[in-house]
Amino acid sequence: MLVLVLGDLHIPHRCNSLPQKFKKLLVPGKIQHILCTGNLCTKESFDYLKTLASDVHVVRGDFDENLNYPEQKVVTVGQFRIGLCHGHQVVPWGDTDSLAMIQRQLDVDILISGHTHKFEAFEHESKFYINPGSATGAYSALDSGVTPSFCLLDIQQSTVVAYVYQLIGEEVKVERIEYKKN
Amino acid sequence: MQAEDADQQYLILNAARKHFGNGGNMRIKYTLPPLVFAAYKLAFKYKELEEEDDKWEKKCQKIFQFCHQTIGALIKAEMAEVPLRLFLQGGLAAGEIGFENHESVAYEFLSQAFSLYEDEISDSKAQLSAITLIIATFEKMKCFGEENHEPLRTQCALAASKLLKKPDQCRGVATCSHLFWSGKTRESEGEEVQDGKRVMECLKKSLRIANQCMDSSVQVQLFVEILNHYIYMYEKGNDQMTVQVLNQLIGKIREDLPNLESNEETEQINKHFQNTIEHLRLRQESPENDGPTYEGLIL
Repeated sequence: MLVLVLGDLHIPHRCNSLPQKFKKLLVPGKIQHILCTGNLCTKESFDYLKTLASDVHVVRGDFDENLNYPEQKVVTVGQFRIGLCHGHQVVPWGDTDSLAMIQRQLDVDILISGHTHKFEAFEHESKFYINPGSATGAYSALDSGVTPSFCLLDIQQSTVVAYVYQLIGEEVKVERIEYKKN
Repeated sequence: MQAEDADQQYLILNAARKHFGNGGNMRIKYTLPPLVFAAYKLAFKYKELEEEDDKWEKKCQKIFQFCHQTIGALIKAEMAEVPLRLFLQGGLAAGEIGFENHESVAYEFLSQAFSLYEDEISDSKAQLSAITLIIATFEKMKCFGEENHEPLRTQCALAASKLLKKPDQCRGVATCSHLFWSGKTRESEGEEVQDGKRVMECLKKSLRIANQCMDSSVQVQLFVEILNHYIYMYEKGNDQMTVQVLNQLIGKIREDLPNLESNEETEQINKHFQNTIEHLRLRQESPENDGPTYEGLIL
């Protein structure tokens, strides 16, 4: 099962669109679920995501126009409970221990968060933490070197393989990180 | 709309601003925010060019004035949420760039965000979101001297304690505890302030507020959240946070949980508590290298 994880597009406030090279990779019909960390910021981007897959989940980012997106969401895919939260509400931003507090509260195997515009994928106390970064490489006051990135999760039984796609210069580089549920 | 040369870019932004400014309230909602972000980006660019342009600091100052005025136009068009966020972003940017007079600019931008919060945000859900964002943003800023940091910290704590609903107050005040721990001032020179005592005051107050909640289910939920805040501070090395304090709250939760009605909500609170205890057990059995020992913890 393929799950697309992305967010912090910041269209149109900070960016005009996804990088062309990413758009070419994101083909409708191949992805079963989309988990979006938020800060789309408008309906146009949401509609675009709906063309890629019918099951789209979005949580509220601090600049999202739609105030009705939930603050947090838990989605079950296969054997995995996946938590989704934008992360601007987590103080301090990007702090692993603060994120762990959310993981315990939502009781999830995988916690996906965004806001920092910095890709992360690591294991902490046997749980998996993913930050897909900003799919458009949007401006962040706290990071001068934002690289456009997104993640694709391949969920098979009790294993998740996370593929992170990063646009470095003109090239798309892919890395692979594996997580096993115990 | 992007120029190669920074000065040209500024002229473009200015021209665009004049043009868009005439678009009427409906249009400026969409056209002005991207201009503000383009301006923030440009300010960072001037910082990069500091070796080549000795006027870079004055130019940054001008850019922030441009942003202040542009955000003002949005406020005149009766917007509040987006301007608040734009001011917070501006404060962050000014603090990071560090041009001459940046501290005053950052303070002004944060004060403006606060004014909008106090005067224009009336929905209680929106208030909690906004104050949490203000606290989170401020926590990241290290450009303020103690003289400016102190009133802002106090403002945050005060605003959190005045939220209408008790659970919101409880959570808001607990979040403020981070300002006293990982907050940074100019004087601390990049080091965390780590005022253990003020952190405890925040968290104890948060617990007092939780005790005032009438819904027993919400109360226990808040206790578990506060316990997690306690653990966070304990593990970060706050020596005012003792095993005794942890034990007391754990005991209280164990006492109250069984009295809750059996339903899905209670199940979630239970899971949250179990996960928390499990985390403590793990840490007790194999403590981190530079972490606390958890000796005396009763699980």
